[in-house]
Amino acid sequence: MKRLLFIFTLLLFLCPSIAAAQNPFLDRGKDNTEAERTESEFSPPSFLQKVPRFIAIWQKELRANMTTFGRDIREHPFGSSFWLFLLLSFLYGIVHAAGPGHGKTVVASYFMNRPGSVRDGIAMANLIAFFHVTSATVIIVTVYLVLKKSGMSSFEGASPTLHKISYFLLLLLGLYLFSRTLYELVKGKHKNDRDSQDTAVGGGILVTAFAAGIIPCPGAAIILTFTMIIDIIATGLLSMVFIALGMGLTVSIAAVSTILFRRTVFRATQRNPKVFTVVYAILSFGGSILLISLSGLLLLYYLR
Amino acid sequence: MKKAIFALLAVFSIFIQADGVFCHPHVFIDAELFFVFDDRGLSGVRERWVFDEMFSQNLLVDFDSDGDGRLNVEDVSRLRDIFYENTKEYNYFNIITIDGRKHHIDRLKKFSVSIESDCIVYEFFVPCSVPVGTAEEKKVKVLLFDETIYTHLTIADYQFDMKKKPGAFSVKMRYEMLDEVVTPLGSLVPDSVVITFRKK
Repeated sequence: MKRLLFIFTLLLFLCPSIAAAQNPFLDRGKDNTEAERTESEFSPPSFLQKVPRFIAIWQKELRANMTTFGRDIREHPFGSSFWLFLLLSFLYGIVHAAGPGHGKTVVASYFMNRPGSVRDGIAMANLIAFFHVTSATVIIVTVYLVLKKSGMSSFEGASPTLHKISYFLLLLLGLYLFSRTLYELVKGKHKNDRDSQDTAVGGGILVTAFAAGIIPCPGAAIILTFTMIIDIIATGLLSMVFIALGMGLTVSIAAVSTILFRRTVFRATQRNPKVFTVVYAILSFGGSILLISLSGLLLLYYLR
Repeated sequence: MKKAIFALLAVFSIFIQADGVFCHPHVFIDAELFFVFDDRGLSGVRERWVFDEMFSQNLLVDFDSDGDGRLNVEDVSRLRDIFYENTKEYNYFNIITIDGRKHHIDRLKKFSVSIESDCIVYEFFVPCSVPVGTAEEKKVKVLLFDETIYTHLTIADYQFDMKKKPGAFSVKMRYEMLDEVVTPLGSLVPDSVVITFRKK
């Protein structure tokens, strides 16, 4: 029971949503809504609400130090600053992915619905992080090579299209998972899950990771662009690998927590077929509905 | 429709983790606030926003049209127009309340951009006229917050400017951290400064 509570608490921490806003200092704006507020609508923050503030402040500190080390690398290419820059890139990846986004909700939804091993969870998490950072890298490098310029404007231009593609793919994935759950429950195939070897299909992991990861990471893009501006491009490209590894670690915690949570709940209920069926339905439908709702709403928001 | 989607996103987000729908901060700003007084009371807040160096360099590459490391008049105009256009509907990331009631900011004044120690600095004046007499005390709260979570604003310093009428008002200021959160997304606990004042 203690283990269950621990995993559940971890999940709460690690499953914020996946969208991204546009940069207010670079883009021509989109029409946004404004809610009229009065003081009465403010409320004291809970501990969970304070956590994102700490995450933001850590990122700010890490970025400031990376800026200093980056400038030093230009003078001493393989000095201690080079290694510290890579180390901070890794830490930045960890902390950055702890904030909203980066596919934590996607991995949680997927592994609520589908079985998987710890290795599957780590694989999907790292693939999402890899695609997320690679997507940003490809845009920035392409703009640099083709247009012979560095800068975030072109990145911000390409980003909304990739958001729409990602949410559309995730919506399809959510609908597929929902239908499959329905089919398995109707046909009684869900009972096999009790005896399954807890492994996921490799293709499913790859497709899900691609769908969630193609949204380019603005955090990585800002760092890569900065390294281009100060002419340490090789270090910048290498730092992308470290950022992806850091992000992968954080997202892995979300994935593995979900896998362990599902496995623990299923094992606890497998002796009673009726209870197992109910638990299976709640988790599996819950995962797919979470994915459908979030991707659908975000797709609508971006298409508006 | 737009509002409905936004509200649904907010509710859904709160439902799944009481966290923001939009992305984690990518831009970091240290803000300084100067509460400016005239003959009648508070006339507004002069704000100085210092962007983080890494993002500042990104901005420079995009907006320094002649690549001389400085921003000319046209560059500043472009930055200003984009800033106004994108943040107007978020009240320029300022949530100001006067005695508990929200103050709507129609437009900013005296917008300028400079570069200091490789960082971009925005300076502007937020009009907020609050006349005050001797018998009453007024309370103004300024809270800096980007509800899309793209930008993280920290209040690095705050003070008042009573050059037009030195010593005419009795002023108390207090920095509030972690005591309020802005809905609907509620992802960050913003910094705020509360100023109470009356005529002497």
